Amino acid sequence: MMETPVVFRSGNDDLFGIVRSPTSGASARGVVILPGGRYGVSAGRNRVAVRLSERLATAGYHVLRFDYHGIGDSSGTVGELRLDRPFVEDLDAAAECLGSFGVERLVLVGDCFGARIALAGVDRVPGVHALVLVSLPLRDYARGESSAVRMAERESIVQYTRKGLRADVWRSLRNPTRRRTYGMLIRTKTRQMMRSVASGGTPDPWLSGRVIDQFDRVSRAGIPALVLYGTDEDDFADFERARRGALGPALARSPRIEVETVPGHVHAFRSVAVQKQFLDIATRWVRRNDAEQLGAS
Amino acid sequence: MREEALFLSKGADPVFIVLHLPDSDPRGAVVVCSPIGAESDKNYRREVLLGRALATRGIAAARFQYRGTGNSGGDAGSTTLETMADDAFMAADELATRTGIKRLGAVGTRLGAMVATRLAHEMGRAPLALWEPAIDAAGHFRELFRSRMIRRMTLGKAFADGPSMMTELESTGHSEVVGYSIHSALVESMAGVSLGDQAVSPGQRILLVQISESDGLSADLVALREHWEHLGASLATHHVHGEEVWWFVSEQFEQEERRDITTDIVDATVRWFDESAGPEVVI
Repeated sequence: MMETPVVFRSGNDDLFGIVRSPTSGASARGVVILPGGRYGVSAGRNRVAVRLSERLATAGYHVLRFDYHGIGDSSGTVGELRLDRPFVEDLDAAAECLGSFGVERLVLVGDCFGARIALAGVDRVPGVHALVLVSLPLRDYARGESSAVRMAERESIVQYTRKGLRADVWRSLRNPTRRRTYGMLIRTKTRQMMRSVASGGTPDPWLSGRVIDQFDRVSRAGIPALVLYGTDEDDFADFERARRGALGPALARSPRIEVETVPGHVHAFRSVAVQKQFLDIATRWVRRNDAEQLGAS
Repeated sequence: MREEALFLSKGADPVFIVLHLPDSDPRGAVVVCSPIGAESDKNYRREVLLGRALATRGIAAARFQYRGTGNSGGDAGSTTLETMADDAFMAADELATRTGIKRLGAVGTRLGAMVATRLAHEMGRAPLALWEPAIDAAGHFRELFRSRMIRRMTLGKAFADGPSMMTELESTGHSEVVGYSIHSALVESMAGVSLGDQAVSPGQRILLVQISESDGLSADLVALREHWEHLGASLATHHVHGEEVWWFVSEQFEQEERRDITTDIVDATVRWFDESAGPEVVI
């Protein structure tokens, strides 16, 4: 095993990471693992990032797993985790770090928030040749707002106003958690209405405009991407809906964007079986894609 | 304050370790023994903050990950209480070599308390701080089993659906709790192990930290305190008001350093080691 702890600069912060070098020796191919925004510690849940590093290093890649600023062993603080503010600067710094190992061609593997970073980094970070996007969220919200966003969509403002006049709802306001939930729901509903008005009646006002643009760029640049979801995930339902709408043209244009699903949930790798499925699928796809790209060149 | 991450190796499998070193000669040194599984991830940033806070107070700290866990090498199925203790001793040796301090302090959280207590005793009357310690291993694994059932319920499965964790461990050698593997080697190595059975030294300073919504120490911790006091140890306790859900993550993101629980537990522990690190205690 050849692992090297690294510290690299992103803005004012020192980010901590570990580079696993390929067992075969020198290589210009590299992978950056971008964790989700939950624990986000570089090793990943049940060492899933460590295990992915092992597999991809055996396949000839330098693999970097690291902690975002304010997480794990990195310095700094995170004010708020927002999907519309991905940590592209951290990714840029990570790519530069791998550059010092001789890496020129990068594959980005991201889960949830990490997938948004990968997607946002495509045209801002040099050398990106492929993407693996796991449970990519298509909406823009802060960490913790996910349930509120979906609740707000479920009923109309008239229905919620009617509910808001009920005595039991007023009584439940004594509970601080309920107060926070209702507050978040009102703010989210208001934002959704404003966005709907601003979009001038486009069919997918809930869908992040940034994600549509980013997919469009991936598609036009012909960058291979694997999009992986669990069939029971809300994000997958969003993806299917978006595929029939605003995301359709970008996906139809590029045969190199592949969509794969596994039964249940893959998001956050909450079972050992799902971790194994993810590792198998991601490793196989990265290797196959690389072989195809090399064959084509 | 400076930090160094490295891999230590005696055999084939390296132990990942991070050293937090004060700018000047340290006046004390502490080894941090983590919990396992989700608890380890949950406690990770808190341990980083503890290491940094200790180092800024002139006390060096070593954090490490047991072989078979985190960034360390090794197979998770081979991790036992013995290998965990070996790894703690390896981290302690490295810290002692780097700082010149021979008698270190130890911090342990949850199951890591078992390792830290053993380490502190072997080092001879070393100051020991325990965060939410697992009082006995069997009770701790029962708690994990409950977490697993709760997880099943959130997935819409029946409460008693599927084999129990213990049945699975017996039949396949491993089980899982919210996506973290639990292996029979670890569970078996801890069979019958309890903190109360661990040796402590007369005059040894021990800090017990409990996080709970209720006031005062739990009955288990009170009994442990009395038992260890009976053996001659000098016990202090600290109660952190709040609730820590060890195996689940809140949907809300909260920076660890802004959580009251974390600032309280880190401050109290640093203060306590600060008092322990006088010239009469260290070396």
